Amino acid sequence: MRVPGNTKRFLLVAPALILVAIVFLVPLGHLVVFSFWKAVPGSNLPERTFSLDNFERILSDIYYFEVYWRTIRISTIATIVTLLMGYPLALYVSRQVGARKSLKGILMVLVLLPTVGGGLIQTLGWIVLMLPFGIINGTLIELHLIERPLKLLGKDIGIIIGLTQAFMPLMVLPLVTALSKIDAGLEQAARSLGAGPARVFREVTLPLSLPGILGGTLLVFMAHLTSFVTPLLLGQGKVQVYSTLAYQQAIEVLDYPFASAFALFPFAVAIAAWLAWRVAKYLFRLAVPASLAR
Amino acid sequence: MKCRRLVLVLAVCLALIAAACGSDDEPAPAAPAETTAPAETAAPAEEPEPTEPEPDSTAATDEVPCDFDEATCDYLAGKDFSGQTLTVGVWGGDIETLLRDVVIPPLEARGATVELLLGGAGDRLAKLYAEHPNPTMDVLYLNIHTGRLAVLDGVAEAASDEIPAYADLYPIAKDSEVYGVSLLALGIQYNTEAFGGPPEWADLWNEAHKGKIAFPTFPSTGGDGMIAIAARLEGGTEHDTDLAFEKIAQLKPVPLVYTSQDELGLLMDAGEVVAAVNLSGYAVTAADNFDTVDFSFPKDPGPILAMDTMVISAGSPNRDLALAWAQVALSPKTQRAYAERIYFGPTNSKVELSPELAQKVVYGPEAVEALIALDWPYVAEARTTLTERWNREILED
Repeated sequence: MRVPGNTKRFLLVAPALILVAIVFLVPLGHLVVFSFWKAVPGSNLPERTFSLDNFERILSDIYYFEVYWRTIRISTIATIVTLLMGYPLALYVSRQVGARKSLKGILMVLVLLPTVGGGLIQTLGWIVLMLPFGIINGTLIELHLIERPLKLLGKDIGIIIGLTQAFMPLMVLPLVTALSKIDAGLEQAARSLGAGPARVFREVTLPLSLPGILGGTLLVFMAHLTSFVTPLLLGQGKVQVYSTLAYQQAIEVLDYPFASAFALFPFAVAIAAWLAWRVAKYLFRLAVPASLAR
Repeated sequence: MKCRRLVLVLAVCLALIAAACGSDDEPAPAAPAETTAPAETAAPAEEPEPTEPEPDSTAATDEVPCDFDEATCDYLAGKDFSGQTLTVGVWGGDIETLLRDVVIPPLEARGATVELLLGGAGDRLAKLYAEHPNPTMDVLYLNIHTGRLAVLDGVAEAASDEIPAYADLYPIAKDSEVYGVSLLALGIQYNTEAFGGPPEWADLWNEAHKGKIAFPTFPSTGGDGMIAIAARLEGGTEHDTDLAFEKIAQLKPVPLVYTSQDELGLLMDAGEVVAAVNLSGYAVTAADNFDTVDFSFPKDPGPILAMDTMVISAGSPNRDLALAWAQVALSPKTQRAYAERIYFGPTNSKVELSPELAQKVVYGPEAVEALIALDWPYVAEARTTLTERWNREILED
């Protein structure tokens, strides 16, 4: 029996589709429903009637915006630092070709090694390093570079350092892939035509590696936005971000409805912005004939 | 074309999920990883020699030796839990070790399998509500006010006088619809080099210690206690939240929000923090571990009462076994072990402690009288508001 091409393709997609539906969409749907329920003071059982109270609470209180904003700020800075530190590393790794191919393999293993231990262990390691009299501060004080220990834990800076390290592999991998694909002949050609190393990098290497930069940046930024262990531990309970506030509301206050609304709110804003953009584009096309727009 | 796009979108989705869950999605250490560990590894150190005479056991049919009090042995006599598995949600660490050494062996000797689900009370409580009415946990250890709420919400059953130990509990341990397991006092853990002697609450506000007082997480018994103390120092109660928050804010900057006892002990020993509101059991243990750390039961106002509690989940499939667990856990022998090993005060009035030990734990009716009981129903009701204010007024610089 001949199976139509479309059906065949669908069968290939089906396992992933089912997995996504079960582990992602169903819980997400639950969250959406929860977010319209309401916590009852003096009970841990929510009131299961439709209510916009949770969203009102988010909108009416600048504190929650500050938490969202702090999350975005920390994630953005950490992503930029990750890119700046990861790019040279990726460039170096991608240049280990030919006889030095085995070195490339070793370097890639080293890049990936931290992910084996998981985020928790690494973060606990950072605590030891960043303590007021830990290794970092101890060394700086011994070298007489500082007099009093730097406050790294419980501050944005500590979280940024932790995030940068934790998600470096997500940045380096796509960059190495993109950089390895660049034909070495292109750079040689640029050099032979008189371009200096800076110009070769600026006009050949960098533009050609843009897909890797975009991919890595997106992956790392998303990971930073939602990371939990790093801000929880390195923030010492003092720096509230998106994930830690949602955790506090869900697990410690046991206000699942508000925690759901708080978690979904940025998602809702993103969807609303996207829809608004589509509608605006559509209206623009309607109002301005295609020939004129060009 | 459509199909190919779908595949692409799905791949991106999966990649994003993988990225989000990848290396950073470990369980929170504040609420330690929930691990289900079968209790088989427990050393049966407390098991008596089979040859030992058995004066307590009166039931002729009970062939299993029993070294508990008469009431407990009578209760367990002739019980056979073969094939039943009891799941108990409880904190890890010292408490877990104690339960494995003392409470689990007599139940296993009667055929039961016991699994401990370790973690923070919040995780457990969330699980209890989510799984209602088909709980996978039979017994849960909770704190003083969340236990009561679980009973009122109908997800846990109220404490029952079906077990003989219930009659022996102090009234305070029966007040909240739950089984009170241990009594603790919320007092001051302090660095002995920073204070002349055991500090009073007011000493925490001494200008010399500004920025060196560690804070508990919030919401927590410690945080609720801090609010109650701050308000009382200003002549109010925990209901006067404005007074309390204004007073607590004077302690800022916050040097540390402690999420583990080890962390607090280490930083206090190093002098980075000089004092913190902490529970007596943990703090007295810290005093054993660090020369420079001690614990003060303040007098003006007195320490705040805190209590570990236990509930049986509503609809527990192993209710008989859960009741047996409760009986053993509340028996004088277990309760004495709590006091001797981790300085948790007994709730069973039949327990007798040596005078030296009695100094370090909340023990006896007079000691319980001296403790301040918070208006827990109010604290539970105000939790959302209090957390919001704590986040904003205490944690933000």
